[in-house]
Amino acid sequence: MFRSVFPLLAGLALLAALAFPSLALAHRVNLFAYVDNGKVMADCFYSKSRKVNHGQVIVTDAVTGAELLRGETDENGAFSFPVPEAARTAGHGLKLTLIAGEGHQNEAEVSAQELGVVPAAAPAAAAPASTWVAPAPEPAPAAAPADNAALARLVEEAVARQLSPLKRMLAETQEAGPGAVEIVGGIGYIFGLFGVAAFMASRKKR
Amino acid sequence: MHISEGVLSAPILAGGAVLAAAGTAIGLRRLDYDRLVTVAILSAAFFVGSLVHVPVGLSNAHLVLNGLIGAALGWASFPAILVGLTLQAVLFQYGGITALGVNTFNMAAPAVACCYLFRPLLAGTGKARAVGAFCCGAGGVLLAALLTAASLALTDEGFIRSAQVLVLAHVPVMLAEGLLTIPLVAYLSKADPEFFSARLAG
Repeated sequence: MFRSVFPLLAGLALLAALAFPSLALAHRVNLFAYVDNGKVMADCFYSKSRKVNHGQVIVTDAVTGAELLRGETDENGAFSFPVPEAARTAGHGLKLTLIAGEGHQNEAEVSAQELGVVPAAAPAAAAPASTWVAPAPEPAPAAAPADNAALARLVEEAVARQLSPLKRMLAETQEAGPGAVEIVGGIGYIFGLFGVAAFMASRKKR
Repeated sequence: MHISEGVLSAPILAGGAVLAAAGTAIGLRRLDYDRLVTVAILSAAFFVGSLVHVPVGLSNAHLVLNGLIGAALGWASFPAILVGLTLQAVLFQYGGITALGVNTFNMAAPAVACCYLFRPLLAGTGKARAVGAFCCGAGGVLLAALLTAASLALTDEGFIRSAQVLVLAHVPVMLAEGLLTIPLVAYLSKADPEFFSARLAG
């Protein structure tokens, strides 16, 4: 009887191997969130080619859990919003929850550092959203502070430009589905488990 | 069909866990030592089957194989599917760990139902067997989709709406599984004429 089922498994493994290019598909929905130019970008996808259309994204304060806003992803699974005022004044990070329907859900957090809203930021600064918290300006020649601020903004923009492809790359590595290691490993686990079960059963029999 | 972490409310999760535990206990008690290898192989097939994408329509659906597993194993489908789902949750992040009980019940209960409904047909030959095999494959997926919709409905999404979405999304999978089950059953009965007619230990 056993001999009859082995080829079945072999056939399935083959099928899985054939399906490999489209493997990163099924039942995990992904949410990748990052900050770009003062805006929070959320990328929602099942796999590289399957984005979440019209999934609901709920944004809450990561500390208090209060809901700040909610929205829907577009055709490309993207949803973006400016850093909410409430998070900026409170200096808290954000938690994004993606509800894709049919029982699919995932969440991601964007820390306060990433948002650039660390509480220490003096309200007087009234700076753009993505301001990095600069160390308190040292006493300097009168004209310097303005220049410093402009310089800081320039540096920030340059760094943001350099980082955004990296962030996208990170998002893409998350899109890779289970690989051969997981698949073969899982089958190994199953046989190991049933091996133990067989061993126990044979001892009981004796 | 794999419900994620944090979607369902605690009572549903607990209820699913209790049902799955009961089913697994029955399955293990009825598990015949001689069928252990069959259980292991079908459990592995279930584990791998979830990676086989059915590339039709809008759905992100994959094979479930619970109908075939049910027809072959009866109540032992519970432990087989529980093991497969656990490894899928840990290794692929398909479905939440806390939702394991609910997911196991949603896929294993239809398997057991298929065993009672269609296994007698599979012991036959020719057309009856082919029809039984198709119903087994398609029915397993359909019932699992309905149970998943029911679990979602008990938490918040309305049953009719989620049932519609889930069943529609799984129509291609139902057809694919039904069609795939016919040759599998034919092959298994040819290789071992007793495979579907042997009495499952009980």
